[in-house]
Amino acid sequence: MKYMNRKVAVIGVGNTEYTSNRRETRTKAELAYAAVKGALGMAGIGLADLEATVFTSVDGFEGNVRPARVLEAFGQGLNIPLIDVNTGGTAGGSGVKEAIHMVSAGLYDLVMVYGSPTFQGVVDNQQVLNTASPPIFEKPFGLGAAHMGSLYCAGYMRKYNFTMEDLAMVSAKSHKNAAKNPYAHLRKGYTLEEILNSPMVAWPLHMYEICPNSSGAVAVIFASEEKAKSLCSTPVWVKAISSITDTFLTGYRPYTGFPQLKILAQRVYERAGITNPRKEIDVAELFNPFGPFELLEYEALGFCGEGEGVGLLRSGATEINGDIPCNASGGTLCTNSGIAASVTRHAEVVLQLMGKAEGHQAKSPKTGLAHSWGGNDGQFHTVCIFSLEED
Amino acid sequence: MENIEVLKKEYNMHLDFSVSLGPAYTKWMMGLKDKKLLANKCPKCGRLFVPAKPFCEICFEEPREWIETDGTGTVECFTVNYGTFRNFPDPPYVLGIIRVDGSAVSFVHWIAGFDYDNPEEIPDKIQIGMKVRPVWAEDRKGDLLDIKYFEPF
Repeated sequence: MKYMNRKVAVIGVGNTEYTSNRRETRTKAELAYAAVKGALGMAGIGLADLEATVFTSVDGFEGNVRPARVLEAFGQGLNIPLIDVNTGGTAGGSGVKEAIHMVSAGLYDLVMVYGSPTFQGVVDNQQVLNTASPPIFEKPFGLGAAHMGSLYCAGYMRKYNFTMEDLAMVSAKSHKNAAKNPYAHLRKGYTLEEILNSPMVAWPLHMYEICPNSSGAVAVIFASEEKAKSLCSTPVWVKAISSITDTFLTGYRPYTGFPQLKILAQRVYERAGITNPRKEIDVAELFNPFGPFELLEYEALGFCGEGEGVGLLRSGATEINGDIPCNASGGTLCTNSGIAASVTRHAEVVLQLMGKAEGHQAKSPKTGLAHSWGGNDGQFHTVCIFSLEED
Repeated sequence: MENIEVLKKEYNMHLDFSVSLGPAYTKWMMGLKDKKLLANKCPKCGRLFVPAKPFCEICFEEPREWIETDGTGTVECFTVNYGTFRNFPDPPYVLGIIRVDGSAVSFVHWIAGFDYDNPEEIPDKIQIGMKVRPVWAEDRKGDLLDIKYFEPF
């Protein structure tokens, strides 16, 4: 079966600067304006050239269920379609998937995906996140976002007899990388020692292994083959994208790894013609709101075998100068602007392939992977493969 | 735009909800009131569910047979909360993923009933795969909190 009806490429990425929610001085509409303006600028097109837009966030998290307040930045005065996509933390990946499907199907030639700063304006985002948990069965126990993350880290650590130091090492890599990325929020470069000395929040996770509440936005522009070739000197081609779902109640989660992601990766690799991900993927952005998630993701994505995540990390292969850099941007651990973070995984891979990853550029990557994780305790994953090679 | 000190404005939304639990969850919750951990069984695949399910999401069939379990189970995973969060219990507490013996699904509950005096030692006192049993609350009203917590034995 032919998966992509038409070729699709990314031709523009727009990022805002990131800060904390508390320090944010821009409105949601101003953030959208800055991100969209940046993406249009890189693509060399105007707002009137867009044929459809995709808004990604989580309904209800923004204190305003409809995204109406930023539509001015989406060309709505020009009467083009807007599709609102919400699959929790993976809404960015799902929105990218919808944009790719629309262009691939031949419906439109230029489609923009916007990642909203979901938590911007929220005073205590744990209270908002709690509304995503099953209210009768899981909410009463004081199980917050950090605990959803720490359960996986605890199960993984105990299964393979890893230490808290093994787990914290991967977060130290993210912090080190974020310090080099002008579009990261936390750029303090926390060391392994500083991470292990930070307060224990949800065992085995220390404070610096848990993402901050960031504010900032991102936009990505997808184009048909014809538009991509006429507008862009370095279009980044989409090879394959898909998503997978699990139950809302968490009763089937194994907490020692991400088996759903493993299934999804196999599907996406098959469509992209990838047989050896460790060799064929040159750069990856893996969703890590809790630092050690990256280790579980190495394994599910076939970058190494089960229980070998820490070994792969220690080998240095996933450092910026390694042969499969992962989260060269510092990842979601250092910048979590809600749903913007799942669009950013894709934007970052695109920038890496274009050679435009300012300050944290990997050495001439050709093929990249973007992943997102979300919904109630890892209900969804998305995986997208990008390449500089057209065919 | 010129660099000026921006204004901040506060607002909030107070929203209340009341949801029906439906017959399957109601029957299961009322079992808790009687200190019983009930299971229901899919007529097609034969899997047991604790908590009960209104339908088996794999076979897409309604479980009709109900069984009373002895309530014992194992700790499938756990985390220890040390953070202070608004509207959450005071730390420290242990969140456990509990699987009642024979159940196809696990659920979340507290693990307690042992010494919490040295908070940093709590993780060392819990093993994954450890046997636990429910400790019942005195005042029960058909709710998951009719179980006070699960204790190791």
